[in-house]
Amino acid sequence: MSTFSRAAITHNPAWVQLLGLCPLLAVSNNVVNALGLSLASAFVLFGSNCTISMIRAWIPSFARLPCFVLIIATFTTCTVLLLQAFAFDLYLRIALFVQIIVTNCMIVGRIEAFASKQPLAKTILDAAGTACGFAIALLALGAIRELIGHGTLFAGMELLFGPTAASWQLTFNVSEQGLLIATLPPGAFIIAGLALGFGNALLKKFRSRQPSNNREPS
Amino acid sequence: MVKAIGSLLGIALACALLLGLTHRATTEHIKHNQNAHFWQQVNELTALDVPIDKVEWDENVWHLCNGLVLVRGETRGYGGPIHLLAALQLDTAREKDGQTTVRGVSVTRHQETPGIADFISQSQHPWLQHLAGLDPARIGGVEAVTGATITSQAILRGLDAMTAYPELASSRCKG
Repeated sequence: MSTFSRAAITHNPAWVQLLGLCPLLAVSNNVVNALGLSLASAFVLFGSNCTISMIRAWIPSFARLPCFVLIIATFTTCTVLLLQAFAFDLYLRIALFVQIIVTNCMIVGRIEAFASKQPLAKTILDAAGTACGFAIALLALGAIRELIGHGTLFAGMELLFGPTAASWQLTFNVSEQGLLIATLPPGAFIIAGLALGFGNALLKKFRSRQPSNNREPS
Repeated sequence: MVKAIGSLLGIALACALLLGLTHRATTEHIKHNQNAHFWQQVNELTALDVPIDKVEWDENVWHLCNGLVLVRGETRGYGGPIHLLAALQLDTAREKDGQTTVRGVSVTRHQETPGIADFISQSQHPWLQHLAGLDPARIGGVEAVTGATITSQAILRGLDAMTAYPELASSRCKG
């Protein structure tokens, strides 16, 4: 379990390692987009990490990068096709960012640093942890931005979960229009920066409470 | 060396196989979704249920023979081509013969920046709604959406070109 929580929290790909920020900032303008992208990323991350862990003995080390990229690209293309087939409306909204999962350095990073050297069981935990960590970051940012920008939460969930989910929308009458900047890219940077600062403060407190435990050499 | 090439080939083959299988399993669904999406847009634009399987494109113009004309076009946006579909109202009243009014515009395909240009695929967006009912001569005066100037102007340019198609005049439904 420590592999999981390490990957998800203390080494959170987005907040701690600052990887995959492009989709994180771009697609987190509401919860449903964030959830869609985190599911797609999780699928690619999980699939490619596990595949590579299983075949790591056959990958020639001088040509490992082409192998990684090929496998990630394969999983990304499969995701694109599956989304188009089963969640077309959502795909229309996040299409570009699903396609560029292929260049998400979080995924290559985890493969190079972990999956290509570790057995499958550990890789599953690490990939699940990383995917969860990324999803937490995306969803948190998506929720904050949707709340500030539109005054709603979970709007448009029917794109993912079918028509019954249309009633999941929560509306908060904070203001009539919402603060537009929160949904625009500058708002993403501002909110992500604040969240990062807040997260770092929390992490510092957490670490100072358990001295000498899992502190990294500086 | 031979072993390395063998394993690389094996990995490439496995990837190709996986892709091929997924493609085969999803083509039907994707085609169905794209068709459904297209017809939904057509029906939203024309506000009448056009029977499916009745596509009669004459170049880029499709006369629905009730005063409405569907036109399709392409314009260069910020991230690549934007495919547009517009419904135009042909005015066949005597003195205004040949005049058109834009009934509605929708974007069928685009690669614009998500988050910034999302509004172009939302048919309910005020900016797109604003284009409906517009006299083509006034397209140049429409202002762009903040943050998506290039995208908005590309759509306006495309719409301008689409209202000037020569095929608009040569209706095949007369008589």
